Amino acid sequence: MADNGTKALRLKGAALLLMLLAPPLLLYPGAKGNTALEVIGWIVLVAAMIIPLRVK
Amino acid sequence: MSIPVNFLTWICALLPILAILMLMVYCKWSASKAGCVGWFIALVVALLVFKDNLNNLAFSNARGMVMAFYVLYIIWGALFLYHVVDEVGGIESIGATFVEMTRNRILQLLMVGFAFVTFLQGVAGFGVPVAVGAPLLVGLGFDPVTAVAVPLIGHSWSVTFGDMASSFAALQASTGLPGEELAPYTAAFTGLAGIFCAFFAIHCFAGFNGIKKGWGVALIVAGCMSATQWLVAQWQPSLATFLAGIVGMIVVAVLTRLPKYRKETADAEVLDSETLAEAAAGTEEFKGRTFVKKMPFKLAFAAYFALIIIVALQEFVPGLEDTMKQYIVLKLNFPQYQTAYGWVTEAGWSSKVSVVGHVGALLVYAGIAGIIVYSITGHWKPGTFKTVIGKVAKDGTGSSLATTAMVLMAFIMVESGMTYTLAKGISVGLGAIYPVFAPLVGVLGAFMTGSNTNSNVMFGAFQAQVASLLGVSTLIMASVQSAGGSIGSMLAPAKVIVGTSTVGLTGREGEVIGKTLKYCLILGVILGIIAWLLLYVFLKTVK
Repeated sequence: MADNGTKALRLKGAALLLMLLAPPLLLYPGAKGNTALEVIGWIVLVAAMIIPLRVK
Repeated sequence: MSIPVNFLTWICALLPILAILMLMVYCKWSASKAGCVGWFIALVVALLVFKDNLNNLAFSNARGMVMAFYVLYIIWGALFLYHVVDEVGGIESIGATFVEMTRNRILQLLMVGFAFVTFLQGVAGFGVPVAVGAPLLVGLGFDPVTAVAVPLIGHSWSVTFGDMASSFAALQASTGLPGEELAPYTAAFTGLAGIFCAFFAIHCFAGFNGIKKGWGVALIVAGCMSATQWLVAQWQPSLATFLAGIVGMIVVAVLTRLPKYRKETADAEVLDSETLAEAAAGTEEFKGRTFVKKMPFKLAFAAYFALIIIVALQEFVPGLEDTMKQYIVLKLNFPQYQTAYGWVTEAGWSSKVSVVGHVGALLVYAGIAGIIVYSITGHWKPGTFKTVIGKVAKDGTGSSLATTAMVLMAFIMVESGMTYTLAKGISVGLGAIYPVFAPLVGVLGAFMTGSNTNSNVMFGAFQAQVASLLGVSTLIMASVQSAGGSIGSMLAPAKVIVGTSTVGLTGREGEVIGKTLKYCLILGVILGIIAWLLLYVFLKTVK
């Protein structure tokens, strides 16, 4: 079972990946006209920003 | 309709920055957490106060992400190269070589606490110069508080072009100013700061008596390093600090050969080394780290030699750079968009990141070359690669989160008109006197975030806009911002903690900051006055 340090690192890594991937993959094409994609993009990006706040 | 610049909108525009400052300084939050909160606040303020819309903000985040990736690629590449060398004992061997060179205290201080830490800043950054330099100085018998303060001062001037110039890349990206025009001014300001930092490092150790005895060598070493940085920055900014550090080490090594500096000479008058050694050993918390030369200097340096060769090949082999930079290019094209206040973001391409030809890729190639050399010589053991990757992930994730969140926040602020509002308010309030305080804004950013890169991201566009509103050079103002952010590193709690923890001084960070604060403020004001003179007297025509 992963210790707290490893778990925190994985969560931070996941947050970073989502922060980097959401804007170009979802928000950018979404902002060009696909509202559903844009909504998903915002949800993913906001979630990515919340994860570090929850990591001890 | 245009953005109403008044006290309310100005305070609202300041909120994200203020929140980061309060959370980091008073609540002791990490930069990654504070950066995320800053992003949220910027998003809400942009929507509610600056009448931006989600569609525009989606574009701002996408544009910011490309810029974040540009900077992160360098950070991760530099960390990979550093840990490859460190894991085989290379960094320890390089440090131990310097310890053997001379018994002259001033030269030891300049070698380890100025030249070597500059070199480390050139290749790694993230507090590595302090983490490696402080224990080395304690091992040489320097007082532990001084041993932490000296590398903080000694490396600070070189941060802008350090870590493969990631802070300079951030400055370019946030201001939109061309690197080739920005580099000479930025390198001139940081180079000047370098000369002061050499003197401050000696003063921190031995007061004015030390400066009286060591001003000549300090001037020679710092002068050569600053000149190197200035020259190289105009050719390849990513190598400017790296090569300045190497030149500094060579110059000190040559000086140690001079008869005057071979014996301990005047050092005994400046300080009693035995007393200092006892003081260091007597620090209860100090764990007594010793540095062992595990391999010859040339072998330890192999990965960095590889880096120099790779960069030179890319630069001098005709067509190679263009060829490398045309494969797997990350770039996005944006339409023109504007807020309800009419604040326009022009159509155009984002920053371009070539996965194969980017500076970060060159660092990875050098790391791989290092692994091959260390494998051939038997220093690279099975399982080391996994350890290296683990350490890179551990060191890089937190700082990457902070950088990404702050880059995205900065893009929201710039493209919603918040940065413009801040700049307009300052320019009206302080007017022509503002440039004197401009470096201190950079210092504040570095103090808050522990990073020259983040300081440039947060304040680069702001400083450039103040310059535009005052009708003075944006190049000089942006440069002085970065120089301020660079010297602010000597105050950054994140770096101070790294230093104190490596020499067993945890909890005594206040003593270290007490030593570095005066040097940082004096230097910030000096750079501000010089910037003012250049902007209003000597270089009025520079754009």
